[in-house]
Amino acid sequence: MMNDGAMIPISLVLIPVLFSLLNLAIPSHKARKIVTYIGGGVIALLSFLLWLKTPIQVSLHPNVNSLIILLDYALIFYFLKEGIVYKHRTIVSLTTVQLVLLSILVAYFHTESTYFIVDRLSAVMALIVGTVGSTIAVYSTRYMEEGEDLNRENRFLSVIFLFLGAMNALVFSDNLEWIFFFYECTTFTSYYLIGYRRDELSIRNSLLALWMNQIGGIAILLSAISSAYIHGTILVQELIKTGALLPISLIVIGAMVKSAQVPFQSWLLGAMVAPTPVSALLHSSTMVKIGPYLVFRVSDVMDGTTLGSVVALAGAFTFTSALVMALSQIEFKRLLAYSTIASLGAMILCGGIGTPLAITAGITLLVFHAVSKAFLFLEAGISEKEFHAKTLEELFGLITKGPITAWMITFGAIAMALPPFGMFIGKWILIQAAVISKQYPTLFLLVFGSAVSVIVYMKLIGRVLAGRETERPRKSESLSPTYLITTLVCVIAIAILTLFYTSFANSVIEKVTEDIIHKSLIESGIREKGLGLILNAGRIDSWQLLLLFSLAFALPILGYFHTWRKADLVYEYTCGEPIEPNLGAYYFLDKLNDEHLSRIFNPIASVFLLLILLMGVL
Amino acid sequence: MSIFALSRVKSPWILHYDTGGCNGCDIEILAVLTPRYDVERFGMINRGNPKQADVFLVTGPVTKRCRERLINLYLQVPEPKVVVAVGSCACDGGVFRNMYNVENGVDKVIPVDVYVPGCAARPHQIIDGVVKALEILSKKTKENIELPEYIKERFPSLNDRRKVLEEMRKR
Amino acid sequence: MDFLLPASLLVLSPLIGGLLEGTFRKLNARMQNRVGPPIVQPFYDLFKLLQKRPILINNYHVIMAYAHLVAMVIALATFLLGGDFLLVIFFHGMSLALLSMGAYGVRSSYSQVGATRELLHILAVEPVLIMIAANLYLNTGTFLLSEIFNSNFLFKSMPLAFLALVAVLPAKLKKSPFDVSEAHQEIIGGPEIEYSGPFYAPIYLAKWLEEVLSAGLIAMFFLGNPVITLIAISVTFTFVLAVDNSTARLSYWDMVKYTWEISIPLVLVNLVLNYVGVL
Repeated sequence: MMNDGAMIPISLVLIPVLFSLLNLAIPSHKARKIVTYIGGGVIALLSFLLWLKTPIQVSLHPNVNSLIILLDYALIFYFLKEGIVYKHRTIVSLTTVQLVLLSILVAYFHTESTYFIVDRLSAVMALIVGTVGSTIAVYSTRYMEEGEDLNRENRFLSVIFLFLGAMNALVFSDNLEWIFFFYECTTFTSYYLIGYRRDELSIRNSLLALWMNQIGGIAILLSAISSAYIHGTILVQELIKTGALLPISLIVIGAMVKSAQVPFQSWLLGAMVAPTPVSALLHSSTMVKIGPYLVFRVSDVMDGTTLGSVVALAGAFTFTSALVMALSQIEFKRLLAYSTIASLGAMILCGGIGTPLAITAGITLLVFHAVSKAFLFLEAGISEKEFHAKTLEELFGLITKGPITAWMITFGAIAMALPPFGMFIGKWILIQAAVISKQYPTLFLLVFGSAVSVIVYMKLIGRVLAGRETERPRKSESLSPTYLITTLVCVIAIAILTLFYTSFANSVIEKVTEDIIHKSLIESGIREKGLGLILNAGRIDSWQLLLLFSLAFALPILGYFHTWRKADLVYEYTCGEPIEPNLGAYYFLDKLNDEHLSRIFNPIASVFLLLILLMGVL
Repeated sequence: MSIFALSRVKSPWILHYDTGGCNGCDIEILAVLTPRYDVERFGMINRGNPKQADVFLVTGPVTKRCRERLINLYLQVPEPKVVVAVGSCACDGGVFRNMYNVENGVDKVIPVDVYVPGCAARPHQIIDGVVKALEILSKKTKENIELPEYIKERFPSLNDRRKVLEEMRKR
Repeated sequence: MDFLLPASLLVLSPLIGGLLEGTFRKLNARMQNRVGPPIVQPFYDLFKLLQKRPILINNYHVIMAYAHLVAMVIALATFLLGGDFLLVIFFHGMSLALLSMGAYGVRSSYSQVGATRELLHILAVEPVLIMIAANLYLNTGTFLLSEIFNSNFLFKSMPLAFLALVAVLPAKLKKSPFDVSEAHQEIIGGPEIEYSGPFYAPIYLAKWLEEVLSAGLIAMFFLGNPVITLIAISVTFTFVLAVDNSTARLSYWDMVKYTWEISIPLVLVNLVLNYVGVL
């Protein structure tokens, strides 16, 4: 293991903390803006450097271990205090359980090894956190200028930077105890940021998020205890080598809680009351990716076992049920939240199947989903602040008021559902992997979900783009430069990653996959050919990718700029009547209401959870 | 005849509108579309949608309420188009002539190309009339737009289809 | 040589598609005891559409019609040139999604309802086709059509999957009882209602190409002897037309339920039988 990059992981944890403290201390909004810009740039650069220098192993001073245990107890007592203050019995009882379990862990199974291990999976996660996180932090400085209390903004920005540091530390940790601490750190940041607006709804939803995430923390603690008791170690790399199933099934359950899989989806939906940068950063691109990250970590052990198939089936069930429930959503952010839950289910599915092809699909979905969903949430924030449109009904005809935002939302939705973008390619490779591994029940659910996802996104595009030539605005809306730059960065990232997907796959995704499965990828048969990809049983050619890519980009550009000068303009067909129809969208509320459906889906998903636990024990 | 003129004649799509008559001629038009008289052998389909129609079949004596809707539909049919007035009511008012609520025939509102008299007009006559209309259609092109006289009187300054439609929407 | 036949099929596909559509209309008419239009009628329709005066509501709505055609061409090209079968299914779904995107782009009640129904067509058709692809993989070991085309009479080992395909063809070709998106008596034209003249021509053309694609899907099960392939295509299409003429339209919910209660179990049973080794 190379050690000359040893300072980079440490700085990727400490520099965000430094910027967090800076932001807390600085009183002027403009100064905080500059500090955030600089901090974002530094973190992004460092994460690129980290990718170039992996793998890295950094051994830390043994006192760090004691410090972390101290901070852990402090955090648990803080949660206990919050539970007592808000008279929330569930939080108090769960915190007490966590206290007891942590003490057992510390007393009996303490370990002296203190490492940060950075392999390519951690590096790619740190890269996503660094780039997407920095973009969103920059965006939030402009977002908070409208209608939010600027005096409290210092705490907001500092908690965001604290989150970036905690997230980095989690992906670098190898010790289950540390993973528990940083997991709970992210729970804390999520709790604070959801309740940031301090109204009754926010506080209620933040408490919901808190106790649900604590269940995940308990799962991680139980995994650590069982791993130490049965196998004598709490280090993840050694755990994988022993091939034990019970600790791994408990880690998977912790991952599923953090990713708001069914039956835990209510906390993520409630979290949408937070300011939109919080939803973009925590609840779509980075924090909820801890779930797939943990599952990918342990997927090598699950390859070929029944536990893997059950995890895959649970992931597929979440994928389908979340998308079906998304069909009836009227609020834009709730629709995006359900879609996030579904995509995370797909990634956990990939981890459950565990073959090299599935892991490639999973990493593709991970990277592309992070960028595309963050982009869509940024656009949701712009429409919330500039156009005061939170629901799909208010978004109707956005193209007449704000064509740039309308086309951006269209582009984001196309990037999530249609070829040739990365989400589609990940889905395609995933279906191939599911068929080849003969996971037919999973395939059955997966194909239904993928068709429903097209419906969900097309409906969104349809609301935004309904307009008339006669009502084309004389000039487009003027967006602030911060908004424009952050969203354009996302668009360019999606475009470049899609067009050069094959070389991206070769240089990044396959190396990550190799690290996860500890084998070389030549035997799994993924080769590149020009711009296309050749798999063992399928192929996508360069001409298809190029044609589709030009189609996807020609549509918004032509739609915005081109005019047919010789054509007459008319109105729609309303049987000759000179009326203006009042058009709503189809929400399938009689058949697909999400409250009724969740009453059916939650018990089924709980059965899957029990099965996962059972497979671990047997 | 060029291929375009030939196809114009060989594939006329119908739009049918009743402006307030007794429905007798409408039933006969429906009969024309049935297997017994089978007008689809001429390539005619009833699309029900003015934007995809060539032949505008109008029945009824144009009640005052139907006047604007008739013009609206007429303006939505893209050129080249022909208008066929089916039945005596559409020709000059028929049974309802000179009543207080009718306009006495379609040609008082929009320009008509073929008149098919009869009360009700028989299917054979309707088919005859449409075939005659096809001959007229083969000589039209997409450039000659005729705004109805009625519109030219009411909105003398507007020569654009969309502007007329927009004005009419405001009432 | 290998490349010449598919490429020429692709270039001639509008011609083949038009004749296929004309044959459908003629057969339809004969089944209803009428004379019906000549077989080259679709070509007359297309040329007539091209010479109408262009009228439009907004530019984007019209561009999506062309995008729908381009996506259908890409799907057909992928199919004929022996690409990945899963990609063919997804590209076909994408072209329907593009059409519904365009239909959503105008504030017309019929268009909006038609667009939602068009998306439900994707929901009814795509899962069944992907399960059939999974079945194909089990039998031939690949998704690549260039190798599937070398297979011989797949119908012997996948009869139930073929039945599922036939069950889903009315939803794919927009024929009764599953022509919910073009429900003429209910929503007049569905997503196509606001298109006219030269902007309706691409949609009309795409419909022909979709029929060629469906013919290709049927032919996939009966390769080996060209005569048998042609007979299979003719018999299947005649059956679909007969069903079209004798059934009434069902609601969109029935369409989705029917696919899920009949077609998918058929394919699953076939999968199990192939897996176990009986078929």
